[in-house]
Amino acid sequence: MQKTVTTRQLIFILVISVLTLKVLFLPNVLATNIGRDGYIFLFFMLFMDFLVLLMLLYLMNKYKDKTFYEMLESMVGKIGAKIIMFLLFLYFLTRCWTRFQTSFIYLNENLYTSFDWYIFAFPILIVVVFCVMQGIKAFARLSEFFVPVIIFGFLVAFIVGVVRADFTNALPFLENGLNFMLSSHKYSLWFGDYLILILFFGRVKMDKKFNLKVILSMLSLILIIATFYAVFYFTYNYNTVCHINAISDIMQFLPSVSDIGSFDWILILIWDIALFLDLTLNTFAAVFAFSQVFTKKGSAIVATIILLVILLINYLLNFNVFMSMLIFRDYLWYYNVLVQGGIPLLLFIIGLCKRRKKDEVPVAQ
Amino acid sequence: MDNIIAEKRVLGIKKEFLDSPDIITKNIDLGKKKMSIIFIDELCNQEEINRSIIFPINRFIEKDFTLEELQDEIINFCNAEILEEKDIENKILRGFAVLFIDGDNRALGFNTVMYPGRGVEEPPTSTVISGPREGFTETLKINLSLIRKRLPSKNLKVEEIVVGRRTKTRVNLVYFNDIVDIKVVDEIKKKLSNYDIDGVMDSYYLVKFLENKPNSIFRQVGNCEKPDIACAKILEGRVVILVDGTPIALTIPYIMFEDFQSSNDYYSDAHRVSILRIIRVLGLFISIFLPGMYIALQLYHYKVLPLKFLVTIVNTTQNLPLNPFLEIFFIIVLFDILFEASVRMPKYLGMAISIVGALILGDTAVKAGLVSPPGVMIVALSAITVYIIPNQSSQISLLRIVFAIIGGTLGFHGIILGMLFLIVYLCNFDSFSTPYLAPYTPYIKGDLKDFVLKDSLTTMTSRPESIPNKNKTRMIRKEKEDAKDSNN
Amino acid sequence: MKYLWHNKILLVILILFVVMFPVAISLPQQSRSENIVTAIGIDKSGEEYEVSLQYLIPYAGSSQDALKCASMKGRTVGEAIEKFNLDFGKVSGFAHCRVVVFNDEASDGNLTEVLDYLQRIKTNTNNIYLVNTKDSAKDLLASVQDLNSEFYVILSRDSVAGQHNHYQSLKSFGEYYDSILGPVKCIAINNIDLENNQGTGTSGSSNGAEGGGGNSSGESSSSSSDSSQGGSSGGSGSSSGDSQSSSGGDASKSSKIKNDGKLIIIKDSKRLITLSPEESDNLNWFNADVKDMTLQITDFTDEIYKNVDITFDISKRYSKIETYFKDGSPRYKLKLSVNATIIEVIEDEITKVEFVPINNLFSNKLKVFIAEKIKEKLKKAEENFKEYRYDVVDCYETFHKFNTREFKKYLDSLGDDEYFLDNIIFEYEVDIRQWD
Repeated sequence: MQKTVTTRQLIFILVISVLTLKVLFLPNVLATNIGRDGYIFLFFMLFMDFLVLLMLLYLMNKYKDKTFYEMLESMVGKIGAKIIMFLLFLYFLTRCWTRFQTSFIYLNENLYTSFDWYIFAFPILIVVVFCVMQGIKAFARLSEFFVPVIIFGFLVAFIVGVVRADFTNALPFLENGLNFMLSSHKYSLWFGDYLILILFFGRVKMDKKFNLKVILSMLSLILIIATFYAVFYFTYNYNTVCHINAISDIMQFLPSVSDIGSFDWILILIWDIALFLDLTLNTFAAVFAFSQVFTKKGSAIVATIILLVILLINYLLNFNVFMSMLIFRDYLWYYNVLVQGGIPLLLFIIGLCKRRKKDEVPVAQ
Repeated sequence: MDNIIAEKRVLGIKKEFLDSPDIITKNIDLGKKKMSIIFIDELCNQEEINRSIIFPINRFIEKDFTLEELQDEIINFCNAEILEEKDIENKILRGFAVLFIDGDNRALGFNTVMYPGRGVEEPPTSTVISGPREGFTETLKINLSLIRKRLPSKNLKVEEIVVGRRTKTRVNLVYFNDIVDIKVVDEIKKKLSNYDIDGVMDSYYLVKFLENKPNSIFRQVGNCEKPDIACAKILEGRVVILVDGTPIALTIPYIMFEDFQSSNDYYSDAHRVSILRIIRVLGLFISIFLPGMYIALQLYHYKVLPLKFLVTIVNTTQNLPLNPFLEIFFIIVLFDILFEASVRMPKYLGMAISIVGALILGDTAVKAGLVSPPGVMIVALSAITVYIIPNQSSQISLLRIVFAIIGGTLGFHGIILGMLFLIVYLCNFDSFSTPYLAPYTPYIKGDLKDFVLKDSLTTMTSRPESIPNKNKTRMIRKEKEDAKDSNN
Repeated sequence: MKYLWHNKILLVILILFVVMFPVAISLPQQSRSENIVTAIGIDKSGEEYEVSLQYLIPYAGSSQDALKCASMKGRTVGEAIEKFNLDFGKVSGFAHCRVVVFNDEASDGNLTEVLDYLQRIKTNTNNIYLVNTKDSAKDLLASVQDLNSEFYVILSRDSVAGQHNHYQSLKSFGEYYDSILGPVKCIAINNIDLENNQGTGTSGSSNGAEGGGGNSSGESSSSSSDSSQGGSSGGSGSSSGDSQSSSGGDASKSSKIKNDGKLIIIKDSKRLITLSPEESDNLNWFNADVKDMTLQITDFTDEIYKNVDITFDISKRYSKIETYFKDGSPRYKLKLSVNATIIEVIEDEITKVEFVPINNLFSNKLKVFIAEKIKEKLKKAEENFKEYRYDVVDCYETFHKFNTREFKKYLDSLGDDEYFLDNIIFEYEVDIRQWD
């Protein structure tokens, strides 16, 4: 396997995967359901995800030259590998779907008066398929190209928020206790981002401090996201429930911009890019999982089919991201939890056991 | 051997050249052996032939010479070489005077070439405020000499390839043997040998042979018209390709950001240069996206405009008969027509055309209510910024039309999608093992010293990593080394 | 075609062009198909709402802006606006809407209900200001002719009214909903009135309002605003519209926007009281963010001044709030540090024609006098909000944040949160610094 992705690119891709949806509609959902202490909840959930990252990193380091599928084959056999890949395929398919929907709702709400779904869907389909055709190397570079811009935009919004937020709104601390933690499984739709790493097994040129870099950058990202929620809530306090789109709404009270216009639309455009990258990334993962199970050829065709299936589902069911969130919350959360936590944990344990076996062999000899 | 008669051979050659009147032959009777000389009138310096060839031979009349003796002892001419029969025609065509001698099927060639050509001047497309003003000419020899003059090194390797069945154009690959990645040179040679074309008029012919994706609108081969730039590129580990008959030298490998750098940047203050480069990048964005964004704003997103700005736009576009897209498209086409006309017109007429275009057409169109002043301003700004990066102007002017159409159809989201499409396409655009968008993506930390923000020359101690090379060290700071030694 | 097939990118671009070009040339300019609304007026009369939209009218080739106002009646605000859209043949675009003005009758009813339509529309309305007016929002908007008019100057965030003078003036939708969704549900909203010398404006507008539904209503009422611009641009209405336009013009000439610092207190979405300028000023002393205040003391005598009235400019104030419980009762302690500068000294009886020196130090007596004056104002404000039970000084929030448990106990002991202000003891400490 050719090592085509650098450590820096991998970190940027993870940033896209983790950051994009967390600062869009999720803060509003958390503000409505949890409220003031949502940042603690968000931090907890992100940290749980972070544990998955650690497991996957361990496996990545252990099977440096193997792709994810090859690693699976060596762990659970061919049939087991195919089953896991199929589960992952379904998982990424649903993620593509939510991202597709989010993009549409996001643009329709923020940038267009009335945005025709088909005018939105087909151009994006063409560009995503084109990206998939160009391969993961080009995509990694694309992320590297745009993620600094995205991070910059995010930080500007973050700083504006920090300046304007009233941090005393954090009080009273944990007024209603930690009861909200009991409903954490219901938010599984928004998490489980590190599974995207399955694409990069055996493909990353690992730096000397690869693990440290990834872990530190992700930890700081987790902190920033949780703080962002806090800042967002502290800025708007009770009114947060009326602010659906966190990332651009936080910019709206910028002082003295009335003569040159509000800048939140620039942030909206930047987040349009982020959403596209996230969608493409998940399409890549879905194509990867699908092609390991069924066919190894024609990634562009597979991507087209996947996206067309999504369009069809949308056409037939006419769901939106909030509807799909409700479905996930009520019916499909156990599937999400199984894939997000169960599979990495299973593989991690098998990985650990295999090492022990290896260790035991020389002793026996 | 004895039956080889020089005179007959010369006549034979003249016949092969279809008895053209500019083929000059002259017989020299030396008594025992006769000699004949042949050359093309327009290409050779006749005075040189008389002085350096015919006159010395005439002094040694009645002697019996071999070609080797003639070359080494008699003729005082450093550029004399013995030619095998197969090379003779080619050399005559290249402006050599060729001397035949009875009894020898070889010949002696003298480089007496004297092409008509321009002198060394400042190239019109790369004028500078400070720094060297010499530019390449159409004569390969002069161009090579301009490089050699600047790079007097034994490691500077010049390789010659002949391209073109009929033009037999000389193409020189110039590079530092100890810096360049030899794979790049091999790839160039392989690509050039892939094509058998009848004629090469300009280096642009070779550009298409060298490109990985010849149908792409994006350049994959760099070019320059100035020897100082060419030398700087050679020093960075690139290969410079000089083609006879054109002042445009090609440089390989090429990265997109090269065109944002101007030779002037290296002869002025780094801080100032950084600002200029930011302006260039901004100019690129303005030229490509501004017309499209303006259309998108009017068709989809007037809401993002501040109210007072909106009042101006709404007032000026109120009575326009065309919709915003058609208006901008109309002005772009108008500008391009004017540009094309003013380039092609003779200079004194070109001036008149630009006055007619700018003053009369633009002003009248606004007054007649066909176009709006903001529309004219937007396109004019975009048209000016196209030439902020002259080497990229052709693709930029095409892209701005593409983005205008996308902006008119899909609004901002379409422009974003178009931009993503474009960038992902460029991300996969490696040529000669060089990523097209380096050093930004893939990120190459060392090369950022000469990226948008330029660092001082003293910090650029290593050659750019984005250009494959085998010798990374460009500069050693002696003070630092000394300090290290003293510490040790 | 074969060539195109080989060059796939060109093919894709060509297909996109073929598909996109016709779309791009057929789309209209968005600002032509939408009405650019800059202000909304909502008047309630009986069970009906009369919604007035102030919108931008473009003048070709000019850089000036002109505003027009038209009104429509409906059972709900949404219905009236939908009628507008139908009437104008254009959608109303609220992206550039700066303000919603409603009259006393509207704020006496359920204000949240009044604003509901605007809160739910797709356009982000969070930054739109809310302004109350006594009589008619329609007349107020009709008197505004362009974006540089006094009304819009007042509405600018940087203006004196926006930031400096009035306690919680210029409240936006966002701030309104923040208070509505919070526990005390109280907010102070700025009140701007139209001062009518002859009252022609009101009568003109009522004509417009009663002029039946459909077109005639829209045009007649809209013309009342179209005074000077209508004349210069030739107007667009019918002859009757023009005649009303002139009367409307008289109205706008004779009427003046009056922003004297009145506030209305909204509690539970309803207008509780209207504070007089003096009462608003008293309330201003609770908030250190209010800049450029003035303070006047009368009949002051010390070693320098004899029986003088002094006006001070309060350039800066620093406040610190402490909340605590003592003997089971909640205490709200406000520590104010005030920078004062003398800007005017008037002697009651001019005994000597002598200019009072400028650079005198404040005597202790003067400092105490000023502090007492400020405390008096604070006390008056306190009495007012205790009497009417409105908490716009974030008293509840402060106790809730910093004394959560005790405050909860306190609220439990009261039985009803409504009366929480009654037993809170307010303490004031004022420190005066001379600033010159």
